Amino acid sequence: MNSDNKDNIFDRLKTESDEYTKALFLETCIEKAKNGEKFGLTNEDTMTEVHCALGLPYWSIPVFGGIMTAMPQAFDLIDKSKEMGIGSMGCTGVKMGMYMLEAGMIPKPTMLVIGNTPCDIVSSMSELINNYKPWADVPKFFMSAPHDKSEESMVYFGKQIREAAAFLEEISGIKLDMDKLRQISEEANKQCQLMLELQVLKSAVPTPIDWTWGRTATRISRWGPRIGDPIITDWLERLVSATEKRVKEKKGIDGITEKIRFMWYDMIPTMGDKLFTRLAKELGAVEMSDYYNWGGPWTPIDTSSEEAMFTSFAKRYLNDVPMAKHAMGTLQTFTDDIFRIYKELKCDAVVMGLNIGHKEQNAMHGAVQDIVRERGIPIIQIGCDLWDERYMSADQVFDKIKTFFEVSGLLT
Amino acid sequence: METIKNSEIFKKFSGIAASLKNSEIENWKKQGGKVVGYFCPVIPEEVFIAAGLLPFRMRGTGSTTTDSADVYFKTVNCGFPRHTFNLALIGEYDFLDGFVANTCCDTILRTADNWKHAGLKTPFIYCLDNAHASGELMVGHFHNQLLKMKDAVEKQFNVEITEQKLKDAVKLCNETKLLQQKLYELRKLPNPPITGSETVAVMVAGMSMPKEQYNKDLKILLDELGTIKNEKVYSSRLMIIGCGHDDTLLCDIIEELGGIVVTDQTCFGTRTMIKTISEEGNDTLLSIAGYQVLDVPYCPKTIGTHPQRKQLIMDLAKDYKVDGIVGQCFISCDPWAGELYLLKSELHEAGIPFIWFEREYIPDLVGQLRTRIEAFLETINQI
Repeated sequence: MNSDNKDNIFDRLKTESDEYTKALFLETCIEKAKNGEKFGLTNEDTMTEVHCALGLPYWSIPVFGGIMTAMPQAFDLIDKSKEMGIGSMGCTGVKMGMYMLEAGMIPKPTMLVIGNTPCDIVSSMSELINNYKPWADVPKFFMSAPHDKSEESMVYFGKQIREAAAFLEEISGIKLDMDKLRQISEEANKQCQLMLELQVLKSAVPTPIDWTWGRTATRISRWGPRIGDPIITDWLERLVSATEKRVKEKKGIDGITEKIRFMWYDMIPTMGDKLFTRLAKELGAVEMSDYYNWGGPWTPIDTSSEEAMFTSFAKRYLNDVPMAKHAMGTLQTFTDDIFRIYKELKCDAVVMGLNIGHKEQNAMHGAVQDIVRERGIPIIQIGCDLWDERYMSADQVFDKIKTFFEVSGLLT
Repeated sequence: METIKNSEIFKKFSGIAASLKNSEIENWKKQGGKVVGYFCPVIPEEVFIAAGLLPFRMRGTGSTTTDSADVYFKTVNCGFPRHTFNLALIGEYDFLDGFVANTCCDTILRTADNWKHAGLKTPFIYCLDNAHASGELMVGHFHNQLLKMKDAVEKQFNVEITEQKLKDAVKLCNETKLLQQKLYELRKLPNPPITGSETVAVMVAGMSMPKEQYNKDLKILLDELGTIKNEKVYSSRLMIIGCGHDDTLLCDIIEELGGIVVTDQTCFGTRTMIKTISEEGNDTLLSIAGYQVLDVPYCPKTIGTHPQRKQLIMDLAKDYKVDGIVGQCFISCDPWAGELYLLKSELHEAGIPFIWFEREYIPDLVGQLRTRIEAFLETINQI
């Protein structure tokens, strides 16, 4: 964590963001349910701006699963999710969400939007949700995201988002105000631009702030109920401004002597805080980018017409959100982003988490390794379980990365 | 005829199913014909037939290792594409002039990328985007994707796929489906003249040789089957559901233990023939898209359609008078793992005995499978 002793701006930003991120947690959802408020659940993430324009609270079940893996009771719940028997090699984070559903830990929503992105086990989760008896009477809408990235496929998915929005309007009784959606989208465009600016600032040597700021920026500006909220724009502007100041002062991360810059090319593991902090402190190895600490670029939402707006939502989700972009994209999409980020953030090495549940990454591990090494870029693939440290501990991953840095000549 | 095993046609089908290369393909190639391998039944073979190509359903038959493929796939990936790709790497699929994967699962969708990256010399490599839910909008998307694939095939093979050629191809493939339906009808008999293992061979052969010849051969086989009087008593009648199932392993185990497999819900079985494609209308590609997306959403990757799959399984169980269902899921297949989890309680509620397990595509531990199936059969027989 960075701090600026003069004005404590980073501390203030942290306090504020902690407050904003509470909205993502299961507890907030349970609170809404207790109060009898209408809310939606989803295993998609494709229409965040629409939800915000409707003022309709919604939560993602896989996100509940992922967050729960960081809770004190996580190992017990992970074991229970495995005992369900839904595939021995399925992603632990998603299986956790499935277990939470079956165990009645998630309150019954007013409506459900169910989809297939980004991967096979999310499709399995969709069927589990659809056939979960206590929620049999909950209205549901199904979405089928394409892998094809052509303009016509984006229009096709944009139409589905429009239909899903109409579904939400019908069930919630709230009319979607297109002017408000336009306003939120334009504000969200500003926020995405600020995240990109933050990314550019992070590319300074030494990098001015640690990886947690990118994660926080994504959480509050791309997830949850405050997308397109000027309060978040203001937060991002202050973060960018404070970061810019550090760059001008040539300040690196407090307490860290930067020696190696690496990208963690996957979602942040539950052990991330422990692992990345140790890598930075002991080796001077700083984490520059990951699937949450992700600066874009983001497709601007074209607000010139309703159709253009919904097609842009499709593009922003399928072409910009890294998990969907990579899991449903091609080998080239995947490696192009490695090369882009490696160059833009002046990285020295690529570390792929290679989560055992990410079949689509595992199924191209050899090709990725070949292509990246052909460019002379050091790469290691870990093969951990992002959500269950017992599979490979933070210490084991640390040792693996340390050895890789040594063998690559990055650590002497 | 006393048993199908004496049939020359069955021996031919059995031989074709037991290997990749066969004399039908050799003859086809000798006459200048081209062969396109395809992974999944959602990829419509009718398009290739209309282009004058021979569609060949990809499988890992005969594979004993994934040593070469593991350079590209991790062992957490499903064995079906890994073994199949391994065979390609060691030259067993060199007879292909084209290879088409699709987005049916996270591992198969990568086979096209790996095929290219490995430098395999197949001239045409393509990945078709499926629809992943069932609805009119999805039909439109799949239709567009089929149009793109059709254009790519035409360009690559320098052919024109006309509406009439597509109609003829659909008619030919519908004939296959109807003949295979007759074959399955025979399995409803108390003493079917054909076992589950033998049926797998007949079905797999149908995806590995020219359809015209297959249909001719199958007609003869059906006549022969009509003359068989099977008096063997079976301890129980079973259905197999789940992944792939292009080999006879499970059927062999069940049938060696005194049971008989009488039907299935797998993508080498009923999924390919339980319904025919409409021959009406002026846009056959649209009819094919409608068939795949709306009529046969029997792959669990098609979300929102579990109730249809469940109903199909219940209907088949009733029609074929099954005593129990065996569900198999290849290790790492998330869609089928979720599906079988749901079916477990649903079949229990319906009073249908059900066992399911994860298995390797080409398993090492056959003894373990055998023990579990034996226990299942014993349990059924006590009910």
